Amino acid sequence: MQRILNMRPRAAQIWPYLFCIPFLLAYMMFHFFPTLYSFILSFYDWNGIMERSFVGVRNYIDLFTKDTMFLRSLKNTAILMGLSTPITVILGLFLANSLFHIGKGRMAYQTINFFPYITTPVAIGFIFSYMFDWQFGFINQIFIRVGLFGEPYFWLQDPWASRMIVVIMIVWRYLGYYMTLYLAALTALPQDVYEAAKVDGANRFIMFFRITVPLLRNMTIFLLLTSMIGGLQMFEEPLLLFSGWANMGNGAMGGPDNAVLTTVWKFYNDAFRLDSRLGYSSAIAYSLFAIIAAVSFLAYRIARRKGGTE
Amino acid sequence: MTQKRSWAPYIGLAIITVIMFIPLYTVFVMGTYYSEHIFRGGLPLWFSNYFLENLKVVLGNNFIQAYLNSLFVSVASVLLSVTASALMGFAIAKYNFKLKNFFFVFLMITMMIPNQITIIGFVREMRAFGMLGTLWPLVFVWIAHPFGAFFMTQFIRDSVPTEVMEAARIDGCSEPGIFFRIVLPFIRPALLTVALLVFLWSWNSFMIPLIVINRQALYTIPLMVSTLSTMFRTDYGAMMCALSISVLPIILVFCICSKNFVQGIANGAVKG
Amino acid sequence: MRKKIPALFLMLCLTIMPFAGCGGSSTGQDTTAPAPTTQSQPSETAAQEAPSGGEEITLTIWDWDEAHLTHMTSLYRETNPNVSFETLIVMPTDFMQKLQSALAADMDVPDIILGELLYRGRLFELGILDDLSQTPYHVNRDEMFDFAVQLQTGPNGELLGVEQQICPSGFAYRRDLAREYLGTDDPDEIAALIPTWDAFIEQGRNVVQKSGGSVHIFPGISVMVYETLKGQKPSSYIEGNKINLTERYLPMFELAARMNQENILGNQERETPALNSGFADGTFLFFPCPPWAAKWNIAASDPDGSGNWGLTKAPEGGFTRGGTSVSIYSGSPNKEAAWDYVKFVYCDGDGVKEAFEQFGFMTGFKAPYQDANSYFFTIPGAFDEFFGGQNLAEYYINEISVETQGQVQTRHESTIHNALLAVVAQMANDKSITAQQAMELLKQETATMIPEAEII
Repeated sequence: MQRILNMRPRAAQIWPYLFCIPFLLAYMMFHFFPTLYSFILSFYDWNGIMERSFVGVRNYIDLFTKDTMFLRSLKNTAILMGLSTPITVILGLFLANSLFHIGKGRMAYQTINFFPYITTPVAIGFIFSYMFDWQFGFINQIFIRVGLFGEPYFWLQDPWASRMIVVIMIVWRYLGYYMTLYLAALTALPQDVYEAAKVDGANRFIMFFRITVPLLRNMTIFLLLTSMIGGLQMFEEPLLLFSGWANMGNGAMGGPDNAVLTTVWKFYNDAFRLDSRLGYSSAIAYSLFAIIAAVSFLAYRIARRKGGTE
Repeated sequence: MTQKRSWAPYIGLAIITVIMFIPLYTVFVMGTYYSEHIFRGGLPLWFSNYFLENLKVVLGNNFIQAYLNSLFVSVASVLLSVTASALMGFAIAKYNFKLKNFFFVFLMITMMIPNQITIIGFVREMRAFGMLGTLWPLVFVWIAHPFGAFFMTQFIRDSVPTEVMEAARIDGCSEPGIFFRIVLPFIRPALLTVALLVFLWSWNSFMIPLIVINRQALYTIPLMVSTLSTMFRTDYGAMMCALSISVLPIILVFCICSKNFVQGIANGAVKG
Repeated sequence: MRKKIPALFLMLCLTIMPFAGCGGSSTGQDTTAPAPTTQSQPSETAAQEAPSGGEEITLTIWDWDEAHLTHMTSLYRETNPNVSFETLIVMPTDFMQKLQSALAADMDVPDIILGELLYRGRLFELGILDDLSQTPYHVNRDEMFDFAVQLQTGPNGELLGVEQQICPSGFAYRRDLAREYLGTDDPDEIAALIPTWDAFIEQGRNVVQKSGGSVHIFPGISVMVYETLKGQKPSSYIEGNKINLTERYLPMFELAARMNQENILGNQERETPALNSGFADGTFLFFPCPPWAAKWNIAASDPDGSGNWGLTKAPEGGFTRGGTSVSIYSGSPNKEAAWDYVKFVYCDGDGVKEAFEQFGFMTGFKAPYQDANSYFFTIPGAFDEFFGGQNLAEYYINEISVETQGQVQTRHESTIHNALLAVVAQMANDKSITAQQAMELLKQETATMIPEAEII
């Protein structure tokens, strides 16, 4: 923040605005108006076909007072995000750090660890349903062979096991991505600080916590924030896990006892898959947005304040 | 002693890497199986002999067309999105102007809006623009991706030395000149990163194409893969075959980029 | 080193560029080139209009059965060259989402709309389908099978569609397993062995005993409850928001819980790969089989099993499983042309015979079956040979359809299907669940999904 280009004559002041124009224009055209449109929709009762009727904030009130499934979906989302975000960020940092310090073969490791992120989501859903399948799943086979289980366990019919599998999916999918971004940040760090620390006799452990972690603060804040925001909007992983055969063809059901029904999934169900309440589902999405904004704002403030003591 | 210690990270990393690698590998392996044989128990670890049959099913399903469509969408999205994000990120990171903080907060807020919400409005708008018979709507959604701009802002702020830019300005370089000649070389890794991500996202996108595309000839790979299964028998073999063919070029490109990616940071950004 | 990077990046761009150009141009072509199935150029149509006399029309259809769709549309075009088709392959699981967003966004909606049972109740309540008993269609309900009329009835008693193909079901069975475990592979003798569900459970015990548990009489609880029992004894248990779940589903759960506790069902649940491989592996004896399932379930999953399958009656009468409605979009500008096509393929046109011969489709209208010498009975259907030369059409019409009733589909009915599946999944996981517990679970699930419902 502190290092900014020095002031220029007035004429040059127009440049930053010009640089922003392509992005802002595209945003206004392709995102802002559709977003505004659904915001207005959220005050209506509309099934997409018949005359829409204005209901004011009733959609929002119903959501928080009558719709137990919505509250459950918020809880599920919070659980899934709260478990997956810290694990992925911390593991990503450690992985990047140890990768940074090995010389040979770093490229191969780095490349392969990014593969899950490249893998098509459909394939990820398939593979995890496959591994944790009740009848022929690899995981059950291992447990049975080792003698831990007498008979196959129906993982995907157990609420908490399902949640854990979703968390594993997310960590597996994003770890390489986090690691790569950390690695990119690590490589950009000034090496002279480390040289100086080494001269002072600091070991690797100390250097990691006293130098690396603080220097990577911007990246950590960035990853935490985006991961929280992404986590609160999560729906692809649980949906894919249960849209195959795990739910016996009942792709709209959020897992056993709706344990992994996230808020965005609920939005989809109400808008398209189980019902056609476009106004109501818009209200779901905007409520979620408000929650995400509040959470992110808090997290950002906390991160900044902690940083401010330096 | 140092020799001895240095093996531990290798082994730990190797285990994690195997875990990371196996699922994608099995996708490739499963693509060579007759669908029902995938489920005979155990993890299929070696290739079977059904690849050509699966390939026939996949190619018979207009795969080439879908492939070209996806390629067009992803390449166009990458070019437009990277340009827009880099310019925006540069402006916010390196200039002082009135709306600077507003724009930054704006970016953060837009990231928080669940973007599924825009679907209906977006489709209505595309219809008004007369764009529905084309692939362009699938490109448009990626141009202004707040994540890209946010990432660029962070990256440029951290890794482009302001002194170099000031020096260039003193030498009489114009503002766009600074961006193209000074900033771009520094942020090549970031450009690659955002390009790769946008490519992946648009390549794998399913919901928006499902709703927007109303012509068989415009189907992208994910849509085409979804039609591989019949109603009551999902042809997982053919599905995995199609997925592995579609993901292979990305892996190759990534493997090539990956090398330059880290080197780019090491050689370009640090030593300047 | 530094020089290399921009060079490589450039190379990358260059390698992708030609593809990009290629993709761009090829899609560009598609939007303009007058391919036979896409919307044709106005100038060209104007030129053709005069000689053919008929108005140039494009009908939009979304379907998941590509082979049938392609074949029937090109057959139709032979006699109706002025009609062209804009066809799109959309899976049943995606159909409703695509349709709804198209409606909400004022996009082009297909002229002919298909309603798989999965979402039919919701589709019918959207109010976007024409009543086919009214002008200009004038379909006479008496000409359709009873179950077909019931399955096609809308919320206000309208007739909203015709059957794509009829869905009354019997049990398909593997002949080798039947000989081994039941001592016969004759459809009538097998039907006599399982006249009631009690007898079926008795036989189920025998199968498990004889095979040592490697073969079961039926794949799994979800196939039993959701694909079989649910469609057997329909009633009008939903009136507005009053839903009498107990009356409708308790007898069914009692039967299902008994089967679970007697352990006569396998672990092959619906829509699972385990079920798909079970057809060829021979892990279960019976499978619920309407005409369409001969193709989609049995022949598709056991491609080498031709001749090894048979069809018999289910205990206590026929039931409906799945099925698809064919309806006309009320906003369609080409209603008459669309209806002409629907009549041609699904009601009484030349396409009905073709669809039967090529794909085994059987119309929901009674007329063709009333003649004992009808092609339905004399020409071997597409899957007769697969079923050991059995005359499937004859069996379906004369043995099964006569006693089959259909469940009227409403929005709540669609939702209850989802609730039912959730309960069934739990019953698969925990075989000790009693009928009462299952009933309570169903009530709970339904109550969360339909908060305004009054559930009994």
